[in-house]
Amino acid sequence: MDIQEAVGEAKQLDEKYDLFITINESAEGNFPIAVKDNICTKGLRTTAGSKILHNYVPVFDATVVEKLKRSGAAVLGKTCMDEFGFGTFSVNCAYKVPKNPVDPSRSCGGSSGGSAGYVAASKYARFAIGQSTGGSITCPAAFCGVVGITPTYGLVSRYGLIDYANSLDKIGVLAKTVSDAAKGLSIISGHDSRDSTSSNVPAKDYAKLQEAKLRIGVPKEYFEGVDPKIAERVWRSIKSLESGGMKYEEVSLPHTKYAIPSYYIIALSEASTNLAKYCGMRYGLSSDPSGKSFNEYFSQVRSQGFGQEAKRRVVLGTYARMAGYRDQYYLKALKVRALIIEDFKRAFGEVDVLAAPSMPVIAPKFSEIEKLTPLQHYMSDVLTVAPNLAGIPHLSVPCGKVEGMPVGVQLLADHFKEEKAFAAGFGVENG
Amino acid sequence: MVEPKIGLEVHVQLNTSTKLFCPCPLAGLAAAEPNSLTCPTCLGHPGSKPVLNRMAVEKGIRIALALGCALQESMYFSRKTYFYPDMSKNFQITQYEIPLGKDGGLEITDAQGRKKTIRITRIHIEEDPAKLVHAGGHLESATHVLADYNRSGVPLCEIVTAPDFQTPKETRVFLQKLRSILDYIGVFDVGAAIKADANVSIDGGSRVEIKNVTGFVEVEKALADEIMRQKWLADDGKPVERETRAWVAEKRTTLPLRKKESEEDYGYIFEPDLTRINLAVALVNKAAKGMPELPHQKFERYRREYGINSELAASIVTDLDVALLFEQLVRSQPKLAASWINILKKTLYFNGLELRQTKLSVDTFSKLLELVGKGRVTSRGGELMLRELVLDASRFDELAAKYSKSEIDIGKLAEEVLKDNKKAVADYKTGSRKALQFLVGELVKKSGGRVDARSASKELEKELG
Ligand SMILES: [Zn+2]
Repeated sequence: MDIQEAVGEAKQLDEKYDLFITINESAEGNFPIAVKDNICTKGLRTTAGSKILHNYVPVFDATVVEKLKRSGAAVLGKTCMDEFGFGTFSVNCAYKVPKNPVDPSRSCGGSSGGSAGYVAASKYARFAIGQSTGGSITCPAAFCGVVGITPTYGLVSRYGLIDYANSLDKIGVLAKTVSDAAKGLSIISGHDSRDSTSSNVPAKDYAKLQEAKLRIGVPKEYFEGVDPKIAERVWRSIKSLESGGMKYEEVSLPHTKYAIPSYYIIALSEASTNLAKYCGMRYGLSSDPSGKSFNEYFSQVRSQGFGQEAKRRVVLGTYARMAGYRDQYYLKALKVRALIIEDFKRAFGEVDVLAAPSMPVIAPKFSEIEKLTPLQHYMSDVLTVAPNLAGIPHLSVPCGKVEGMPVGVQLLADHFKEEKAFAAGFGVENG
Repeated sequence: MVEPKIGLEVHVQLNTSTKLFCPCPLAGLAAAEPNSLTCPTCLGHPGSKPVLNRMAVEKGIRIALALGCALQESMYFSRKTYFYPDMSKNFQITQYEIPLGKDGGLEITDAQGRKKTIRITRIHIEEDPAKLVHAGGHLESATHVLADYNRSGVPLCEIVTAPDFQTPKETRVFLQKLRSILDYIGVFDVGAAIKADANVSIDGGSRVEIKNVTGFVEVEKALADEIMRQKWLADDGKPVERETRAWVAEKRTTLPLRKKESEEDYGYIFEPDLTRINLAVALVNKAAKGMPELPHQKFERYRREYGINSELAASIVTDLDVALLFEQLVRSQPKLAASWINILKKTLYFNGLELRQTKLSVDTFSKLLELVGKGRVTSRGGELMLRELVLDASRFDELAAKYSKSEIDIGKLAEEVLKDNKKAVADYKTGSRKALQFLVGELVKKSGGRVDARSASKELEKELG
């Protein structure tokens, strides 16, 4: 494949759908890859979608980028995203808002919107690199009609990932097919001594997909408040798995309703400390410090550099960890997280894979997103935050369309049982 | 008056070979070009991650064990978030609700010679921030500030005591003893300074914190000054305010830093980039294995095995180098070792030196004791040799020749002494023992210490017939 052709295509797609923050004209390699802009690429500008890093050029490659380059990938560009991953629709971006290639009046989903849109539209790309904290792979995968794998926390090194919430952040893959997703994950997974949370579980070759007779669980809580037409599509996939010889049963994950508050408290508490380092002193956006105390200067740069949603999340996260609030919010949320993990562990004692809708709605129109309050915005993550809190692998696979827009089914498996999610996803794809 | 209540927060730099969370080296840090010993992690670059230095944990465990602290089952780190230009991430990775060790103690002897235990509340490990240089003078007069991140990420161990000290002097005794223990267990370069924050209250009044005092002499001075200030306020009927003050060493006084209506709020969260570290039996055992005999254990052993008096034993064990020298000498020179170590300590003290600053080797010191033991050099001569050896150990052969008994003609010296002291000779002849003692002293003096009193007396009696 001529990489320059792929670069040319990326530029065209970018003009049409606003998918990239930076395009790498001098990309070299055997196959094209787009990388979410919160993953460091040596010598190639990396902004995490934020103005505060508008001129930041990393001095090292993230481990996943190193691994991809070693496997022959050409990094074509860095894709659009919500600033630092703060959003569900890729509209909280300091640069461009990516448009859904299926219907450009609609969102790609977020926060890995650019990567999903690119995979959906490109005829060259087999997969792209995304990253999820609370659903940022599953959501855009479902909205753009591509496959998205969010691996077990610790399976893929976070070294070189610009942190949103370190205990939740996972790098994963958006792909054309389940098989492409598995191949992509095989390339980027494996232990890394530079990330202390990286797991020692030996890497597997997920591309060697195995058909398996799995027990499927259907969590009833994941169908509450879901668009009935979407629920119907998801049920059809579950039935097709059944006709393929898999058994399904209804299960309950009773703490699901606490997932959203627990997720936002933990994620924003961590995020508010992660964003502290951006203060115009060592790199990134800077301004004239003369006549100002360091506090005034830091505030000025941060006021200019952070978008509205980043500011909101820093303020919320800071409150949640302050004395007087810390016990009832931050520490409580950690306890709830443990209960949510227990829910999944109990369910995986009975079944191999859980199947549920990826998103409660189809990709919304930008005009609809504008009307959402921040709380409604946060609530749209209702189906994705629990698996992210638990750090379990989850795969979103397209399962038909509603009103012409793609719908996704998510397949959840126990920690480090990615192969089971892939096997079920393969069944859905061929069903 | 109620005795002052004093507590300390001691910061010790651990002598690991690399920083706490990155591979940047610590060797040559003091002399390195600013910002030359840095990497993305200690500069807080986006995407960088901390990786815990296991050696620092092991050294921390040794401190906890040496101070009798209870180790926690697991180790966690936390983020302490505040904005300051010396902070590369604007949060410090430290330990908060679950410190490495808790509830230990260290015994000291107070001014009345009574033993008392200073409780250790907690010890934890944390990273040092960068160094700020106020260009153009002091904090107030500086035109700008330069930040050197070479120090950023240097491993520190914080040791917090209960407010168990009653006098500033006790803090010095404590810090000296602590320093000696840290040296013994190999976690700290004695050349590095011990830094401390001290808190003090008198008569049950408000607690004042004194920040960032370097060295135990300064800690004692700062506390004495602060107690004086609080007493003056009390004498004037003014309240002592709860506040944080800075010790300005050159002005020998504390200055207000900030009023403290309430605790600062650092919004601690668990450090999510570092997983829970299981302080498994294996790790603790490994650290315990590296634990040498501690000062108080050596003290007991010296008393038991060598029958040394407690004052001398205590003096020897304070300094690890001296203790190790003693242990080597005592094998070959069991009779002389203790008394000569005592002479060495006095000689060092007189010269304001520490043993490690001299080039005096075990070998040289054994040779000296051999000369004395075999009577080739007098005790006095040996002492004089030692005075010069601590300054320049390479002169051993030259000094040995100079002070050797065989190099002098004792008979000739005795004749001269008798000639010069006719009156004493006459007194001796009338039976005065005192006169002989005087003449012996003169002869020893004249020989420059090369002749001891016994030989001198023998020679003189021979000459006097
Ligand atoms: Zn470093």
